[in-house]
Amino acid sequence: MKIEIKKFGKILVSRPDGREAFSSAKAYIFPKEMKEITLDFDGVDVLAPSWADEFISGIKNNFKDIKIDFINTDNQSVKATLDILLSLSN
Amino acid sequence: MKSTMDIHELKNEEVDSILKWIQQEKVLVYDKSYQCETRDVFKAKLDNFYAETKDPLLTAVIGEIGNNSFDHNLGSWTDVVGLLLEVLSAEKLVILADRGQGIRASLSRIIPEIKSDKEALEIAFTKVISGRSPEQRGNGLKFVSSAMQNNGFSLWFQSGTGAVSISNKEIKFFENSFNIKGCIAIIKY
Repeated sequence: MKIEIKKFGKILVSRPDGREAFSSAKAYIFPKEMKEITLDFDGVDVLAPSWADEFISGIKNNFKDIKIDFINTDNQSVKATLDILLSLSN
Repeated sequence: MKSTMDIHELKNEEVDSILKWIQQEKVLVYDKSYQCETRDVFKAKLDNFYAETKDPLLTAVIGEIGNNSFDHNLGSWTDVVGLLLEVLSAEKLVILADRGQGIRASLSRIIPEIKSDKEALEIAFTKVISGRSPEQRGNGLKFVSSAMQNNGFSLWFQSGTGAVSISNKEIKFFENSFNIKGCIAIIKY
């Protein structure tokens, strides 16, 4: 499935907001089981590691061995955030 | 161009004034118009900063530093609650300051052998570890460091007597002669 991240807001910077976004997605958007997901960052103005870590870690912890794809990551803050999160998780 | 940022060479009265304020043993709010008592107020000011600058990376950096203050100090501020955020647009300076427990006290809960404020800052800016273990945290200041080094911004950050200066792809840690009660960050963009 594809998630439009901009629907959680255009400036995404704090851990509580990232945690809340994941909880909401888990309750109302994600299926019970999921093997693949695409996170679409089109339209996001600002992304910081705190928000992204809570949201992405939530997905990884709740859906074992899930494959996560990231698209429309040209925004400088999106790119820098994903670079550091993915480098630290490898 | 100098390789590191030196706050004393900024020669900015407002920076000097906030530096004096944050070194005092006990203080009242510096200026209500700059004080973010809650994360919501900080977020609103951050939205305004983005609207003015349209700089996503710089906004993310300020967001990380500011939210760190709330993540690590909720309920344990020394005296003044929240975070000071002042943007000096003409000088292209951003000042963030909190009267929280500081980096060393926060990290010492999981790494009690930390011997100095400088060592605490080195860990905070270069290693993936956090004062809020066992949660998976501790990437924020690494992100800040990387963004500063790769995008032409400069940062001076101090907590206690430990300080870090990042500029021109160079990062330097040092012990300063004066003591900051909490944390202060000055960004030149």
